[in-house]
Amino acid sequence: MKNVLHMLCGIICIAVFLTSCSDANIDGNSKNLLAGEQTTVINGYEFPIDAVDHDHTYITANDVTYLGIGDTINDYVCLSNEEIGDFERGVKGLTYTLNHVTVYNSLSDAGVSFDDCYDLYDEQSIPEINNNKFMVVDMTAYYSIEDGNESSINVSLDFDIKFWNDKGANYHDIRPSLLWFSMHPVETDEELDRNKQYFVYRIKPGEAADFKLGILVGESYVNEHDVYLAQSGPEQKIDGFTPYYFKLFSEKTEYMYGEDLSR
Amino acid sequence: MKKALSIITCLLVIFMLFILPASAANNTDTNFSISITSTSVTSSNSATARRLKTDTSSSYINYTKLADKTTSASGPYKFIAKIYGSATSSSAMVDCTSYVHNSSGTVIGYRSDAVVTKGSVGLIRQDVYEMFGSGAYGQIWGRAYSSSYTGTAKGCWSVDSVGSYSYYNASTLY
Repeated sequence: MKNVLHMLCGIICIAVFLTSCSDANIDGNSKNLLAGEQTTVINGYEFPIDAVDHDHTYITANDVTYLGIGDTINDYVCLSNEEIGDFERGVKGLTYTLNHVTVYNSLSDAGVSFDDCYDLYDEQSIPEINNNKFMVVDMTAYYSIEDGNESSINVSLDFDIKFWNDKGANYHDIRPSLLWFSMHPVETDEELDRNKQYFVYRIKPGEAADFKLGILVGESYVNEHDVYLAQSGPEQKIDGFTPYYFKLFSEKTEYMYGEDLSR
Repeated sequence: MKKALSIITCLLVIFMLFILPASAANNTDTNFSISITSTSVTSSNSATARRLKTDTSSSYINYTKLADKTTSASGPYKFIAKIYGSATSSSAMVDCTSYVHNSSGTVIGYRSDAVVTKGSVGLIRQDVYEMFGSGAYGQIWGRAYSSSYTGTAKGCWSVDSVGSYSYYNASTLY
């Protein structure tokens, strides 16, 4: 019995030792960077000047072309630019149409199960998630190419959630994030990994697929109508590239938790 | 003795629950497309926006396939990848891969270049979450391994990771 006791104590000691090791914040004898090298401090951390990107100008609200409910966007974008090289994204012949947006009081009010969501939060976060609004975005994907090939293709849903008023790290209100995709692969899918390919779906040539996206949104972002569904692409201003964002708040947006007082 | 054993066993179970990594992470694969032009210019991924970092895990890179898992990765045979981080979704990004800091924020070491070779899958050590905390964002950047290897590197990546893969970079203290 004593041996078992000693073994358990030993395991605990090893576990304590292992958890005290971390790749970051290694304590040791501090040495400066190369003598004379210019440094800057960001969020309390010292960096050489050239480790910080000061060279790019990022897209602002005025650089975007906004689309609304009923609008359609081509998934395929192709351009060549000195800064980003040969840029090509999306699938030729694939379009997305924004049909409808509904804001619910919470994930559960929207009838969406936490287990069906993308694995961005653990179960301990469920109460916090249910304290935030949940936007359900109805869309249609249409794959128009009919070249005799009837087999389906895998498509990675290529949208980012955007907002302009970023309050910074550790802000109390949860940031808008894509949490649910109605056509996500199931656990038993033999080809697609439900976790790593959550936003990948199959579509056949000539087929239209209606689907829903769920976006977790802090209340302040709802009040400020500051959530957009953006076609993925460069964050920097690039000559010849026009970013397209679907505006999710409009006069057609439905509020399922009562009157929208912010308007 | 039995009581002591039970208490220790309970403590062990509770402790293991705490040290097991949380299953949640921003680990879905999204495409990257990085213009690799020279050994001195580090360029940002132009395929997707920077991504919310939800934990201290390393970042995952897949230079074999795109996120659809059917299209093969393309681009230079090798490139050097870095993970840049920021406190907000629009603030200037900083290299959170190349330097090791102590708890006071002083640089006390460096990390070797993460040389990503076509056909490989692996992890990059970085400190985005440690530096900027909850709500931090990460983005993959890249530069040329040598002037012989240029072009547009295309593959997929995730800012957080779950599971074991080999590391592309290593930490060294000064």
